[in-house]
Amino acid sequence: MVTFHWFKVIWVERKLYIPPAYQNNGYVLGVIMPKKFNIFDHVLVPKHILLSKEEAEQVLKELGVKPWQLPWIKASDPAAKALGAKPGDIIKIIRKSPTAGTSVAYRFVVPDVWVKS
Amino acid sequence: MSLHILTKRIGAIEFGVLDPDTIRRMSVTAIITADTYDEDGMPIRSGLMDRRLGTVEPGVRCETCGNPVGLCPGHFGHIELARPVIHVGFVKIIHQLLRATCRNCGRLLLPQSEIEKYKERMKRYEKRWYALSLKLAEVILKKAMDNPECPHCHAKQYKIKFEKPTMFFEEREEGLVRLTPSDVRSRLEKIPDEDLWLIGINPKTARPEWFVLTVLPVPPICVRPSITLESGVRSEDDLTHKLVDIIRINERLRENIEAGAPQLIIDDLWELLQYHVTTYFDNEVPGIPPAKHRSGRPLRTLAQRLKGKEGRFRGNLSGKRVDFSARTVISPDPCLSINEVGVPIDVAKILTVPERVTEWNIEEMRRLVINGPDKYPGANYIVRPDGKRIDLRFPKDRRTLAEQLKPGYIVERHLKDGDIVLFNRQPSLHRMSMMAHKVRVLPYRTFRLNLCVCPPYNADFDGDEMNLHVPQSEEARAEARILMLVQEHILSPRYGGPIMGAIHDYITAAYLLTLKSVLLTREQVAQLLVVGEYRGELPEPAIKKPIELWTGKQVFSVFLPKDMNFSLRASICMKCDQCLREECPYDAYVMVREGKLLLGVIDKASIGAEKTDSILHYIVKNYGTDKGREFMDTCFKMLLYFLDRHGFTMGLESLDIPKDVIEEIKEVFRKAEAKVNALIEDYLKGRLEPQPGKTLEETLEVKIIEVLNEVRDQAGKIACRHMRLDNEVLVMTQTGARGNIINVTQMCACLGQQHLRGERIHRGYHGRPLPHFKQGDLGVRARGFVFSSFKRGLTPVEFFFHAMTGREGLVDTAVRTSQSGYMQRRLINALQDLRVEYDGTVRTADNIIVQFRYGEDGVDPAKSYHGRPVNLDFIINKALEVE
Repeated sequence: MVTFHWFKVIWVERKLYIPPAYQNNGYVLGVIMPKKFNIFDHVLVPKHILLSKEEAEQVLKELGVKPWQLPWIKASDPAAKALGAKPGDIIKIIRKSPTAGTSVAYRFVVPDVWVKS
Repeated sequence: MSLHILTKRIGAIEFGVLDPDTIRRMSVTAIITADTYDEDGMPIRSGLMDRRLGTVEPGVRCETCGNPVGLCPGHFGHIELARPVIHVGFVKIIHQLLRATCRNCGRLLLPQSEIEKYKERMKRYEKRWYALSLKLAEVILKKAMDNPECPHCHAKQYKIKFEKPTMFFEEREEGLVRLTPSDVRSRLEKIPDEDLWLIGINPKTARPEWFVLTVLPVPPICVRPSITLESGVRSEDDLTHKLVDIIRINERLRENIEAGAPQLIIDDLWELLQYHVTTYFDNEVPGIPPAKHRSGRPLRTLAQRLKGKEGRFRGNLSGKRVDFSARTVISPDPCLSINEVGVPIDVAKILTVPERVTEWNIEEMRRLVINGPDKYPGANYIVRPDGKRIDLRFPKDRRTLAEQLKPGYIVERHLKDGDIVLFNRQPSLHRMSMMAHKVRVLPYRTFRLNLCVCPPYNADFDGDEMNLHVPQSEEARAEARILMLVQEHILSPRYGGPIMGAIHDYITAAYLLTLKSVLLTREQVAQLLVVGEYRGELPEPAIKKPIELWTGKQVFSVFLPKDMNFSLRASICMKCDQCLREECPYDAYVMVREGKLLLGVIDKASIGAEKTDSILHYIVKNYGTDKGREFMDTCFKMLLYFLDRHGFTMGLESLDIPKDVIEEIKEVFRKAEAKVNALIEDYLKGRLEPQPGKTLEETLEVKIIEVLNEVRDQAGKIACRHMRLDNEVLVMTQTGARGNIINVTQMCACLGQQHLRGERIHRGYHGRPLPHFKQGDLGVRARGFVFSSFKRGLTPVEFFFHAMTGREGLVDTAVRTSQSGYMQRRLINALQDLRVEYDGTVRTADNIIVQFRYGEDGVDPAKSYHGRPVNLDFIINKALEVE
């Protein structure tokens, strides 16, 4: 599993925050050094499981669909990247649901056109 | 007509652009003359009304295909344009293409290496990710645009300026140079097929040079039929007018070119031709004046025929005009069942139902035919087995026609009691806006409906009109009866509870009937039960001596299912800290045991519309919609009868409050005003501390509003406290029949603070809302606090403030309805063909999965308890019962 490295910066504004004018308006008070961060540790990120080829086929057969008829997820999606999913894969997502307890969804990984190749 | 059986399915549809050769090939004639008819009124050959373009007159066969009017599809002609002209519909893509390709060699303005790379990706995407290939094309096009130099032939590129609607310029060193449509066309011709494929254009179906017209197709006459007015004058269609203009200018242009006229004149005519062709396609293009009819009315050309609400798509394809429908004003009739609709006899004589003659109904049908179209249970048409229709308005001897009736004939008879019809009120926002009713033919001229169906239609009787449709086939009637009948919609998917139920007077009546103090004599009880269509035995009287007396609760219980056990808290419940349940001093704890209402008063919480977990909800859910309908038809009718006899009037004295209470309220006002003045004083003296995130002024406003809002609540509470419990106003508000505490407060205590955009009123003059105040007066009165009540009357200044808020409310509703209407339209458009499959998934028309389980839990909201799949209280009660 890939882990992400983040820099945390504390940024103090001198004036009201107006986007184009942010240069030279603040100071960096300090930098919190990189910390290992796993997005799946976050409470709001649901569980993602990369399905094996056999599992994927099983799911498609059960639902009676072609892969593209599933909801899509971009290969550049942070969760897909963290799983190392490639276009063509199928990801199983297990969410908490206020009405049903847990709910299961499947997503088809698609390439992202905007990624520089 | 024979029945065609579909043996092939459409696999795919591809849209493309017509190329000049195709236009010429599908044309039956070139159109050269601008005139349509000669002096004798005959269409001129190779004119716009050429007979070869198809027939519109009945009896004349088409010269091209030999078919009569109904079967001739119409045939295209064409106009050879003297000079090419740009098609307005394609200017945007033409502009992009000019910017993205070389002016010299026509290649895409990207280095060869990059083109190769994209080709690879395109190939990959087109095979597996078709939607992505479209996106990639967009990216490539964006990247190729505005390159200053061609990477292939190293020609310098100029910026292309586009002027609305159809002009292109090149910004060269020597200045702006106009690109004529011919120049544009020759540039587009140079773009190679492989490069087009990369930017998402299929060169087989849409070569870019076809975006510039050299031939114009002329649509067949049936697309633009001429109308003959009563006076015999022929009036041509707008499209024909426009085509006449095009031909006229085209011929003049051709003549001038052939005569070698100066370039200036040719350019002028060329531009005029461009204008006419542009407006022929779209007469609402920004940047040019719309082409006008002689009367000054803008012409309705091709784009206008398709666009907008009355256009082909929204007006003729998504929506259609129908027969067998009626519309009139509605009025209430509590004596009808909720499943019924009262139809005026005049309407019933016009709307018909086709009924097949059989051995069993032939006598009946004969009688209807003899009665004919004017005498009520009659018929308007007979359809013979050979399909011939006989209009019963004209033949004198309908008796012989009736004799001729045989099984197999169809009689289109008048609407009669028990027929199923669809009833609808706009706006049709949810499925309950159109429900099936059973007909009751009644005198007078309005549709009549039971009051309980007002909430689903959102109808009242201040002049509302409703529509009625008569299904014509057996299948349609069966579907309507089973799926759309009113009683099947008592439970709404909107609330997860009954959307129909008691409203207004029904609730008041139920409350007054089930009060503990109500005792009724034998006669009274019998009367009520007769009205409620109860035909069983009288219950045991609650008091036997000296005379037999029944309680109101007993009368109500008669209509409850015999084995019902239920309890809930009534709407009048005071929400005490400690609920005494059975001991409730207000009789607000409703308890039904074995079908008998033992305790509690019936009000909105028990039988009201749009209330969940009520007695009504329980009955409909557990005893079925039939029982629910019966309950609403019988019990509710009885309630209204009781109220008629009991009498219920709210007058001015219902709002009276004792003098000392008025003083008490005034004291509250005095204190509040003093408090506000103190705050203002603090503010002026600079003693006020600003709250975090707020300015000093904002802080002051917040604090003042806080104080003033409390004033109204307090005043209302004091006023209500001193009203008797049998006060009509209180009865209505407490039971939920109509009105709320704020309404009562405003009527008898004070109107309270008037708001504009959520703030105290401060706009108007400099520093004051009205000239009656000093500038900068922050006081209570100067900022729109109304101390008067509706009963006492408002001072002129207060009246003005009140009018301001009133107007804001009106404007808000107007804005909200239009906005939410548009949102609804778009939502419905997006969601219309989603469906829940048998496996519980939600899918679109092409089987794309949207939800893996409907609503994540697969619960049908109409069968839920306010969204919850089960009601635990009900289950626990049931379990306790068994014990």
